[in-house]
Amino acid sequence: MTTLEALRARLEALLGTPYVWTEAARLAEYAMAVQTPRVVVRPETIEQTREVLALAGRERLAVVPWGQGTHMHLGALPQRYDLALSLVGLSRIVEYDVANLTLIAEAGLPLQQAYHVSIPERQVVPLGFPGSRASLGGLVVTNTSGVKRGRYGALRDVLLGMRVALPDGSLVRFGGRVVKNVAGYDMNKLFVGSLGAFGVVVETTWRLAALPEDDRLLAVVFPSLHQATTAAAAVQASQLLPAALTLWSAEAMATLGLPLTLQPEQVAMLVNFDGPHEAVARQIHDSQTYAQHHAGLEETLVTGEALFTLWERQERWQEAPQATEPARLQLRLGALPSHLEDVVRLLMTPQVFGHQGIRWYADYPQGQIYAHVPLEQSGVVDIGQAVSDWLAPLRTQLQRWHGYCAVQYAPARLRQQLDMWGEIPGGQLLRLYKHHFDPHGVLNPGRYAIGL
Amino acid sequence: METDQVLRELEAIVGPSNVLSSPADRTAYRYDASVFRGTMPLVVVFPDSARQIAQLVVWCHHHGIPYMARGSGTAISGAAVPTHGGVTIELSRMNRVLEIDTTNRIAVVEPGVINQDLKQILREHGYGHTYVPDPGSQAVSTIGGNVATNAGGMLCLKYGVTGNHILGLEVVLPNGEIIEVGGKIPDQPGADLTGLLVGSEGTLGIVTKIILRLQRLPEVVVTQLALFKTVDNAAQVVSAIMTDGILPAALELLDQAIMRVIDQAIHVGYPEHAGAALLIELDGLEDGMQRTLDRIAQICKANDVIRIETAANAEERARLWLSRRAAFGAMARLATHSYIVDGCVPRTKLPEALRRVVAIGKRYGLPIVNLAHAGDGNLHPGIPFHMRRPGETEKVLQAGREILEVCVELGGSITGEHGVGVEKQNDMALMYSPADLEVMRRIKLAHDPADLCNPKKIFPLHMLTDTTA
Repeated sequence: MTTLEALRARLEALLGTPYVWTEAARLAEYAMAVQTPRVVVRPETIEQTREVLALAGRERLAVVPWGQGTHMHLGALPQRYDLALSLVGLSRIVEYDVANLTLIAEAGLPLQQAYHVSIPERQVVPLGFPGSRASLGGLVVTNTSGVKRGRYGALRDVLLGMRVALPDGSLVRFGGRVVKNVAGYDMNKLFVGSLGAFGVVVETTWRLAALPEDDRLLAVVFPSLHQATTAAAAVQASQLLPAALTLWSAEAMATLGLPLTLQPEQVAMLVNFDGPHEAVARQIHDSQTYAQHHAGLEETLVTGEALFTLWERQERWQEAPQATEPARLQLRLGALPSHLEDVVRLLMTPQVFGHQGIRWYADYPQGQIYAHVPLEQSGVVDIGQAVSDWLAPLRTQLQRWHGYCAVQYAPARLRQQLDMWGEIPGGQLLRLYKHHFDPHGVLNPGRYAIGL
Repeated sequence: METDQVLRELEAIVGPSNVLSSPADRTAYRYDASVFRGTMPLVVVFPDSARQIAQLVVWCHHHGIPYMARGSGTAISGAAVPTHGGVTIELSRMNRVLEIDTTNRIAVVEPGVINQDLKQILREHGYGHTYVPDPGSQAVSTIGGNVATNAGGMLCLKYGVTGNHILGLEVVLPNGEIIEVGGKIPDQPGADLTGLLVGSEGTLGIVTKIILRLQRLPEVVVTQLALFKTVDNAAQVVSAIMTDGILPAALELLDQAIMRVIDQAIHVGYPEHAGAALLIELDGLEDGMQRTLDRIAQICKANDVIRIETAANAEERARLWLSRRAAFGAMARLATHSYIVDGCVPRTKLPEALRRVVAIGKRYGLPIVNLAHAGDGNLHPGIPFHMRRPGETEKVLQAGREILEVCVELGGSITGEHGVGVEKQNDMALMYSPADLEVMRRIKLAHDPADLCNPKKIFPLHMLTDTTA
């Protein structure tokens, strides 16, 4: 393997001295749990990024790409880690075509910057929420859809094209800038949720949406999970067109800071509508009626700044806990709406490794449950084993219900021990693609599903 | 291998009555709805399960014989014709609707289910939901074929193409393995393999089961037909509607040439001086709809609209739609064949694209008519021609290629919804660099290193000469 000095010199020749770091403090900023890189680099252009990857491919250097670093807790830990490739230098808006509602931007651009540009034109990138620090490329490789997915589509639906740098030194373009394009394989999709296993996304093209005229959210408290679920099912079965429809446990609601107080068994339903004033008013009204029919208790309406804050707090759920917070697991479970109640009950079954106090919220129409599971280490000899023993039957049962469970965050030691991904449909294809795209395993080695 | 033995072995897999081998039968399978004639298949088989397909694929692999799956053969890009003979695997027997689950808004179907048959089942049994994708061929095309080509339709503007409605697939891979990708719940951990396989035109495997998304029927649907003096007026209206924040379900544009053709066929009564028509469909909630319609009327007025007609009931809606859907049928009155181009441009470039299409038509002496899914910038110039006249097909294809060059130059795509097939293999190089295509081809090589699964498609021919097949 190349000596550190030689490597540093070659990277400096490519990028310039100010963009290559080997100081311990800087390396520590890019640590993945216990591992730190040998070098941190920050290319300023797409071409430089391509060159860095080509070098990594030739020299078999393990690369961990970084966007804004908000989701680095996802996936398993990399098995090797030579180069931290920071993409924050790739933050240009390449083209914003207002009339055609498309935006092309480099992958390191934080979503909030995209909003800064598009809001004055009354348009939005329908991802995340307007204050999100997450980078556009990061959203792609983590498959993070927007909070208003019900109305504006998932990430896969609004991503039109991309440019990708590969470890063989190629820089390629997939998709296009038009909303309809079926020329060849839809390669964009390979990179959605790929955690950088097949290439480094360096530029992204998006379909924008017009900013709605009105935007309101109704939160209603229900006496029980069952009543809340039934109310959500009634909204879903109606003509209403919610942009978001979520259910929140009492403990989870406490993190949102809404002026509602829930007793431990109570569950809240949050339903968001946007569009023309008349349509929003009618849908809020109808939702209130459905809620009353299902024993809805207290309710509150959220709009404007308060709604913005709510989205921000919801998105925080996906981020890793602060160092000061107690240890926990963060799970994402797939649960058909018809099985949501069963899955929540299963999730809440007491386990040996932690106290009660699992908090969760569920995206009802999309069948996603996000859960925070506290880990209490006292009294359990091998917490990793205890969690694994709990996770395996949970996953088996979820599969019977067509669901799944991904561990999205675990403390460092557990992250090394646990199967973060679970079983992946079509895993054998991913292995073949990995061989063709990254034959020497230099991209995030071991971090992706099935050990890729 | 002797032909008799081939037949015996294949009959053992699918049953004796499910194999076609006479020259007359096989000849029919050299064609699809395109102007391209494929090679003669060795044999046509009709399996009825994923297991049989897996056996067929393994058999083909063992003997080094190419194969391709086929639905109803409505492709107009040559996607459904064999390039290298071999076994044509016809999926019409796999036409079961396996599951309809409106609580979870999904249905599970086999690939041979006809698109409109599923819609009809949903409608007749009062499910209150529908499957949205509506390619022009929906009355005959299979959902498997729609998945293979990632088919579009009129309602793409608001609801997206087929791929946006597919959650999961069961696929027989070229190595004979039966796998599932995606599932009933979105965002399965790992990559979006479903999205990658949709639109791969049957070159990466054979889809044997499809999990698709159902959608609630909208509360109201409003259909309007607006007539304008010029195409530019109509196109301007399209852009203004979209930037105003209105998202119609459909925005279909017709130019004067196609309006005349349609009028001759079904007597719509378009005024002489109308240079373009815009079919506008809005759906959603009743509340706020009137204000949206008023706003559209305002936009139309600002762009010299001649008149706007709003359908008052379902019959009138059907009549307005017929004035669009009858287009390709009406073209059959002009010549023995029609060649339909499928380019896509950024919406605002549509007027320029259409002007240049007309100019290309003049230069070639071809009477080009224009339809467009205008909201998406997806244009469908149609060229009626006589295939038997010497040199005419070549001329038409050449004009089509020039149109696609214009689309790419304007920042668009060589195909918005019809797929590459054999028609646009070489045009792929207009859109993608050699490196882009080489990397794209790695997917094909990963799935099908022997290049037997619908071989020699999608990629430019010059890339395909060095394959191992």
